Amino acid sequence: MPIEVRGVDNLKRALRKYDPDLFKAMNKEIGTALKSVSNEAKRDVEPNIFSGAMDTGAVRVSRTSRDRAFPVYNSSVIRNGLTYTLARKKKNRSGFSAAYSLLNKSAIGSIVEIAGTKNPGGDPSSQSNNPNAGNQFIQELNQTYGNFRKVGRGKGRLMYKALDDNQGKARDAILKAIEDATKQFKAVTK
Amino acid sequence: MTVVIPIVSEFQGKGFKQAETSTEKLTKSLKRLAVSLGVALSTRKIVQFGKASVLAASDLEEAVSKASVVFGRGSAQIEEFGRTSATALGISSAAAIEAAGTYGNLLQAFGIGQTQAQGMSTTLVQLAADMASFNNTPIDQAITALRSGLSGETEPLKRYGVALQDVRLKTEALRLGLIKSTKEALTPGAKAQAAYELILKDTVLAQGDFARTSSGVANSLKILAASATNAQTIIGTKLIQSMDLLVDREDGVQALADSFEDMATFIGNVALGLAEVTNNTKTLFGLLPGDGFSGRDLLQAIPVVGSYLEFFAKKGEKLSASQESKQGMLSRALAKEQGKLASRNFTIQKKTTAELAKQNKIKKDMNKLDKAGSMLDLEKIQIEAALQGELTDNERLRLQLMKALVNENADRAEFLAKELEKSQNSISKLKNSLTEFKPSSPFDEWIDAIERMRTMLAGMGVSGMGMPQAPMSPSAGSPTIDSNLGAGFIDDFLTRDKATGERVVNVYVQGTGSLDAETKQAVVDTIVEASTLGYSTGWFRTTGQLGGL
Repeated sequence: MPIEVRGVDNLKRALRKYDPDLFKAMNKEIGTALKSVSNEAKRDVEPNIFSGAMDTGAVRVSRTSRDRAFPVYNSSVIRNGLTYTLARKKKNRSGFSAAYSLLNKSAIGSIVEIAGTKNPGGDPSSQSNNPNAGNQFIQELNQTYGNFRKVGRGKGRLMYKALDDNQGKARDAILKAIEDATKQFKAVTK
Repeated sequence: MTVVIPIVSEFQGKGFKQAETSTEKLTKSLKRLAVSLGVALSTRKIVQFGKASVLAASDLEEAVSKASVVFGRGSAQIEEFGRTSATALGISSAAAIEAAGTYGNLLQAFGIGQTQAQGMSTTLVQLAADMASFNNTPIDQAITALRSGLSGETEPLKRYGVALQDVRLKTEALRLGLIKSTKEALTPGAKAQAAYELILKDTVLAQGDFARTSSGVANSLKILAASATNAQTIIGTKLIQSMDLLVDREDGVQALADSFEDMATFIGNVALGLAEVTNNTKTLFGLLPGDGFSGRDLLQAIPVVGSYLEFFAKKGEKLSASQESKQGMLSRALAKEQGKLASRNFTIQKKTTAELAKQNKIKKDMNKLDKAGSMLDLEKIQIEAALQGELTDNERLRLQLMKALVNENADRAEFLAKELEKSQNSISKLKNSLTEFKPSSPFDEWIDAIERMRTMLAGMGVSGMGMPQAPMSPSAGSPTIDSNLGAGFIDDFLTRDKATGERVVNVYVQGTGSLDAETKQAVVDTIVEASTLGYSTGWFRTTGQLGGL
């Protein structure tokens, strides 16, 4: 569950203007905390998965109306996509936006992360010739990576799992970094 | 496709909610209008109109850009041509400039010079309007047919009464001097020029038809449609400018929402007014894309278009004026924010200082209590009862200290602790002074005194002085002073009188002769004087020749 804070943008603005060194130090601490989680997720990436999904080097073309083919499984691509960002993300419908977030950027990484969260038995509107393709794919993923790990409202197999294993340490470290930066800034601006 | 997992999030719904509220207000105000007008209004349509306007403005911009590349300096004349195209040709400015640019590009590709191509392009656009008017076709079709004819395709132009055969083209080229004989092959440029001339020849009847029939229904509609498109373009241009200025501001979302609300109210008022005049409330929707244009709607829509222009022109003017003060506004806003931040920091600093002072005081009090408590060596006391008893000053102090500690009176405890410490220190000092007390040893001083005495007594004829235990034999001669006085004998000189118990110093003076009283006294005085211990005469007891002085 993300922690709601107030005034992070104001703090960032003030630090960027009046104490850039402190701003960099704060970002470094936050980055370290987030990196620990993303590195943990990277360690959990399995090198292989069922044979039909592996990258054989062949060029894949979509057989449906979609622009691109289903992405192949490539562990290095997945690892490269597991990262974090310190940038402000877009507001959601409720008006909340993330100040700091973890990302699973690659297409195949995202699929491995959340496939089956919405339709555990596969997408009913799938255009595959095999009507059980989605279900089989999800089952294979569950066998390889285990069941979903839930954090807050979200659940997943890679980054969510790493976040769950982290047990809030990264979040606490981030909050501490923000708090320390605030205190130091107040002390400096006396 | 990125999975984003927020770790720390913040609510930023202020502008978001305000925009939502503004949209709700907009919808409500439009619904109220709908009730009064008796028709159903939709904000979506207004938004669609706005979008179409922006697209139209974008199309014009693209066309002008293309013309500037194709015609270079001559593009100004092309733009001027476009300005009057709506009324003169029944096509919008964007379409006219676009068509001219296309023709110009094609002709230059065939090797025709820029200036010549410019003249030919505008003529062709005009001809397209005339051909469309003459043959009752859409202008776009005529423009496309002419382009095909220039490229060598003859079929599309046949409908318009233009026959471009190879024989005719060669003949025309020969006439123009582009080739020397009909057997010579035509270059693309020569072919295009010959085709151009033939087209002009074959469309003599159609030329000028638009102007002749502009008052007719068909051409009127075209003029109106072109005017409406031009109006949309203008609106779109203003919209783009407005949006650029508004979105740059911090309250961009709110300002945009407000402007749409204002626009809706304005349009509503205009529609109301129009309804009163024409009794036709569908005028507004006649202008909107997707509903199609009917002549009636267009005619009635012109005042609304004018209202749009007026509204957005005013809006644009306001925003343009504010652009100059934008920098000043930003600077003032920044200064204000800095002031707020400084003020907030000062408040926080004051609070922090007060808090720290309070904490320091608490800390000091605790230290005092700890210090006083560390001096206690009693576990249980009945303080009050004990204080009633007869106590020494030290004990009383301790009990009072205990009482202060039990009552948690830190100041009183501190005071008593200090008093107790002083008392203990003075006792310690006394003890130290006693234990360290060593009476000045008469030994060293005594030796000096004896030496002096001996010297003085020798001067007086006294030759002997010794211990009473070992009196010298008064054998003969002057009294002698025994000089063999060592350290071990010093205690013997310090004796106690057996009768009184007082300390006395025995001095035995041995002399062989007799001493008169005066001499005896002098001896005693000398001894007393020589004694650096400050002993009084009473300390001395003389024996021997001095007798019992």
